[in-house]
Amino acid sequence: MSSLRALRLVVAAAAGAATMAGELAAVRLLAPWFGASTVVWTNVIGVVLLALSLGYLWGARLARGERPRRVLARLFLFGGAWYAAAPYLARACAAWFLPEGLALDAAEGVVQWGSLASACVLFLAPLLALGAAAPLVVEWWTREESVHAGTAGGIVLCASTIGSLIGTFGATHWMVPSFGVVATFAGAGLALVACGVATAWTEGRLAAMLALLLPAYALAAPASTGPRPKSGERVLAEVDSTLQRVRVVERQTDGWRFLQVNEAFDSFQSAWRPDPGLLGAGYYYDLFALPLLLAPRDTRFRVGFVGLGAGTAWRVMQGMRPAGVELRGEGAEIDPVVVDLAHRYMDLPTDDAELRVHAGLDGRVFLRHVGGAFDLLVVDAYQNQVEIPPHLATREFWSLCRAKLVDGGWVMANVGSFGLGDPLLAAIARAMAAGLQEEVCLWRVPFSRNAIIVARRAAPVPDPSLVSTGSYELDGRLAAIALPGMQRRVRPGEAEGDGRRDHGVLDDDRAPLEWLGQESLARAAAVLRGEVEP
Amino acid sequence: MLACASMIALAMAPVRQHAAAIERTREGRHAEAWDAASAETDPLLRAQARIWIAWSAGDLFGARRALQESRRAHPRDPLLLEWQLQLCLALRDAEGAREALDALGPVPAAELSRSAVDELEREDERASATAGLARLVSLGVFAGSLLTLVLLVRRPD
Repeated sequence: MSSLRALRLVVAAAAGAATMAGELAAVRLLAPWFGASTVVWTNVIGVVLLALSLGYLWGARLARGERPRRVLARLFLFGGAWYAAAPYLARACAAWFLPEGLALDAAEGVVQWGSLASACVLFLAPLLALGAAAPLVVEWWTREESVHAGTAGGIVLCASTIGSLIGTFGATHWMVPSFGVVATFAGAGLALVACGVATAWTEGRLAAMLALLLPAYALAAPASTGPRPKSGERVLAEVDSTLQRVRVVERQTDGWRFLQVNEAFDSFQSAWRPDPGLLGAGYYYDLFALPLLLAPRDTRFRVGFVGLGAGTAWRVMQGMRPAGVELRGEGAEIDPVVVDLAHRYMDLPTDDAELRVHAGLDGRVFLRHVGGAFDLLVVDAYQNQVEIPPHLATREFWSLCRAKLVDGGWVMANVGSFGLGDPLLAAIARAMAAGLQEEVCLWRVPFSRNAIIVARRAAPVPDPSLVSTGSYELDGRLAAIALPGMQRRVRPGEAEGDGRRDHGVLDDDRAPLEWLGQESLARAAAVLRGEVEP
Repeated sequence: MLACASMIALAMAPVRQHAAAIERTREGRHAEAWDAASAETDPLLRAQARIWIAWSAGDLFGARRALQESRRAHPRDPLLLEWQLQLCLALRDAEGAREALDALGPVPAAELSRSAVDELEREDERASATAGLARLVSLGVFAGSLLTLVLLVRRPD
């Protein structure tokens, strides 16, 4: 194979690889501000497709010129320089489209449009250039090799698609987790620039091209691209995992630490305080200690965690464990980086003596394969900041939970929601009642926008106002839950009762949690305005 | 004598229920407090007790709802207005907070919260402006791109 032919193949493959790596890394780049929800993915993919379709047509027009190779080199240099600069532009861009310190419940419109606008500003131009590359390479091939356009097109498409494959796997499994988002963009940018320089070399225009590069790469210095911590907080660690950006921040006034995942809003995934035990008003984790406090003495109490996070619920239980009760735990956390940071900064046990941690394991896979039955299952699994994974909310999942509970065992699930009428909460409660074949109780957590769904296998959930746990603080919160408007019961087979759109019982075939999440946020705005009952 | 005692007891009864509700709330006995509040015969005191109980129990939405109901009957009650101001600030409802602030007039409690209401309104405006800008940029880019696509398709040369 001639060196020119090889160069053309490499150039086509580089365009494909950079497109896919850019698309995947783009979501990761925007995630610290806008999350990585389906909405954000859709917006990024939409912008990529728009840019490519425009680029193809533009490239077709450019291919009619006298020197398509020179144009191609310029496009690669432009695209590469933009890619390398994108992480540095992202913070400024996000500041335009996302006000700092925005509350989660006010975020709906901003996430949707802000992520779309940011994707347009940051990625439309370089991807347009990459889209225009393909017709130019085809033209170059056709002119040099004197072959049919279809032959050249087929070869170039093949090389480009193989490049896309390499970019897809390389970005997700190697570049982002190993080197981070900034380095992924810099690497893709450098590859494009190298292709541009090589192409220009064949035209004898190297010096001019190199001069063009210098300003762009003067920018390339390692930096954090995520949102800054709030005033009074400092970042202890920040890591890009395969799934998300994870960081631990410490509040300087009291030493509390919070694990945040892609967080630009006023929220966190796990909390840690220097002493184990109850966290206080507004923290739903405290309610998970209830079954432990009601357990008979001189027994072993086994708790399972689906979505362990950094082990906040475990730490609450450790601090509240009554004398005479032996506490054992086993849990799954899908992101190993979260577990690693929890070991280092949030006192998650590193041995298996009391708590066995399955890092990198999906909650449902864990539950399917874990041996023995539990006295309590805590389900607290979230993805992309605000989304509950659909397969951890369906009737079949709750049925699996039932199979893993002892008689009288408890299952408690955390659902972020805005009142008992929240459509997401109601749908999950109905699926839970159907799967467990038990009545479930919805408890709003005082001073919080969370609710806990509680059920027991073959036993009733006690009236919270009649429970005495021995903890004055927890009893006070349970007494608050006993108020009208703070709790509700859902029986198996109960239909949606208030005339809202009925999505049926969530099951593995159909669980439209994205829709329900959108409905929940839209309803939250109305609740906050006092237009509908919480 | 008996009739007089009965009249005094009747007159005192609403106050006792309201006070009992407040006292039980302080003790953390929210369900009993709610029952006591429900037995209160004075509508304004009943409403105030319910708002207080719900708020103390961490049910801010419930407190807000009770407040809205009672304000319909007592739109100028200063205590309700002050609670609305504080509750709306807690729920980040700038409009409700501004309404209460304006209705309260220049009293010290309102003046203390004025800057918080101003800040909340500024945040709302900023959120609204950035969302508007994002919408404008997105729609502009998509419309411009589609127009370019159409032009390129129609006039390839």
